[in-house]
Amino acid sequence: MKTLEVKNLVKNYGEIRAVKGINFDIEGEEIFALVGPNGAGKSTTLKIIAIILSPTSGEILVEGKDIKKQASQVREMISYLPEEAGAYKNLTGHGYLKFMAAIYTDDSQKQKEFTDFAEELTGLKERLKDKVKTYSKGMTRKLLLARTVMSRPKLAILDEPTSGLDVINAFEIRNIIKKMSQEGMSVLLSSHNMLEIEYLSHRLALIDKGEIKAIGTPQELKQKYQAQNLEEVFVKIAL
Amino acid sequence: MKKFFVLLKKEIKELITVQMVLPLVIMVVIFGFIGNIISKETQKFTNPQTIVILNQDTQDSANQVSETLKSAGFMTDVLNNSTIDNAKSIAKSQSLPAFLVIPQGFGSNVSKFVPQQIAVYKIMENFSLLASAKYTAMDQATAILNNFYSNQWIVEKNVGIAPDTLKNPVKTSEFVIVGSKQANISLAALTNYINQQIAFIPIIFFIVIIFAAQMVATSVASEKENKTFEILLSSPVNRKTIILAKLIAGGIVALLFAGVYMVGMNFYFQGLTSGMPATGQTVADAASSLGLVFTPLGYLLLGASLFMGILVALSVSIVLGIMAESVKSVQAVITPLMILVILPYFLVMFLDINTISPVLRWIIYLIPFSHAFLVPQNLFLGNYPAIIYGIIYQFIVFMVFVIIATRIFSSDKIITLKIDFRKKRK
Repeated sequence: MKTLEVKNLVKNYGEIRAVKGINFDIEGEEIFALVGPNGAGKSTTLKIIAIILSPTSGEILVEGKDIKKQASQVREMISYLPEEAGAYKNLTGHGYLKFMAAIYTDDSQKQKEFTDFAEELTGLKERLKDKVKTYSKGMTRKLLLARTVMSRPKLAILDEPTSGLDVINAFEIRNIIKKMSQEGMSVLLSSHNMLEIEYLSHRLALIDKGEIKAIGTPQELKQKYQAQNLEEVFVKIAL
Repeated sequence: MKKFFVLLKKEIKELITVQMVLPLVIMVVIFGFIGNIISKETQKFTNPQTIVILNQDTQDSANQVSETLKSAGFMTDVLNNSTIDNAKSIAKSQSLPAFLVIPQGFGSNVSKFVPQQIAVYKIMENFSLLASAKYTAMDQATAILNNFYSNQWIVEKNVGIAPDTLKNPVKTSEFVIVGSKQANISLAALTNYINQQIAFIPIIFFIVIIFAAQMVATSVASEKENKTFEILLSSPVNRKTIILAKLIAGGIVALLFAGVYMVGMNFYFQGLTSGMPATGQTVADAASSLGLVFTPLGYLLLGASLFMGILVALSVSIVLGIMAESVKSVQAVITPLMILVILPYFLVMFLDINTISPVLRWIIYLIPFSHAFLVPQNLFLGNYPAIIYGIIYQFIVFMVFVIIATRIFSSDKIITLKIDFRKKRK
């Protein structure tokens, strides 16, 4: 069974058609990337899959369950990290992870497992006792990524996971994503960073003006468009 | 249910911060401080007042005026063979607000039944309410002198009627009627007593509503701005639970705020009234016999109406907070709510709701916050149905806004709804 199936997804904002009938799917343990310029419809697509926005038409299945009809069951299996998100500033890092663990499960033993796992992933150690408002952008992002994967969801939805981060923080976050995928989690991410996509993703879809222009592995796309790298592929498709 | 408490705990932790607690504590201290200062200042005017008398007549005249004032509880400082400038500087050096001048020939003219003129000099140094109260003592002194000399004339003319009877042939005995009850008491004294009991209620309600609205709208706008809302909305938690946790947390913090504020106000009013002459037991008894005191049921209804008013403000604020583009724009989006609180606050304070035009009256009734402001007077007048209808109306408005908030939370509007003030200005 596929982890995610997106079929003829359309999203209109009033008169504006942001997503124009896109189709793609994600297999288990796969890292799938949506790549495209600003306003291409990436974030809208991710928000619909994260059940924050509702689709105008189309069907989305997570592990075979419809996100509209079985929303509460789907929410148990997904976890979403918005672009440039923050955490509750007056909670400590530990308090934030503990709070989010309690949102994902009522079982106190599981809550502890989730929190311990996330704390280890962040690498923040003693700083977890400090309030989130004292964290740097990189520290907050690591905290949020750890929160996203703490419940080991079937599908992690990551919107620009390394946006605005320095090289070291971005590198550490990519490694966490890769590690989690190897442990059985499927990942849907969006990014502008072609090098990141090439390093991380098993497959990708190039999206522009709400339409998927090309889909395949990085190697397939480079061969198809006779390009040296994904950036070149994207430019050839966009122009 | 577990998730509700998890969310509630988080909301309270986010709302009760040092930045929120510190101003609250400072406010209580400041109110206590102001009350204490006013008390001390008011006390000064209830103590025996010293009156400087510049005597330009004989020693006998000065003695008579002085003794008359002393017998009425004043202290006197008589200046013989002195000038107005000297009297002025002496009054100023003793921080006395005024002095009076007995003119030459005062004593002999009074004995010939010739009306006399005493000059009263009032030294104006500031325009505060307390400053104007200082001159009351001087006005009382001149009234006492008038009374003394008119009594003397009546006796000397030997008209055969007691001076008091002659001057006040018609005496009044004032009765106050409230509903079917009545009491033999001065309306002014009664009104003053009641105002002392209830004056702080609308002030606290007004401040708490504004505070609660800002707090919750900021909390919602901050969640939107930081995208913590998006994380919550995609997590396995019911959206109604998110709203409920925000409302209840806001309500708890607002009540805590109201409690602390009440302590502060209590210090303030205690200070304010402790310097004033004690209200006689007669007034308190009359108020009680007229039913103008809070009964346990009265407190319950008042509390219910105030709490419902806070809940209405919180539910409206959640909707308004969603419309805010950022935390900075919260103030702008909650302005309509603030107007709806300020309007009944002032209208109820200055107008008689029963005599204003029906249109204005119904406008006031349509504003859910009006009902909480009206509770004290409705309680005193025994108008319980009006209070209960008000609470029911507040509950309906609260539910309507909870439903609106739930609908918004369950739709794309939670992410897309915003008021862009810049666009509107274009």
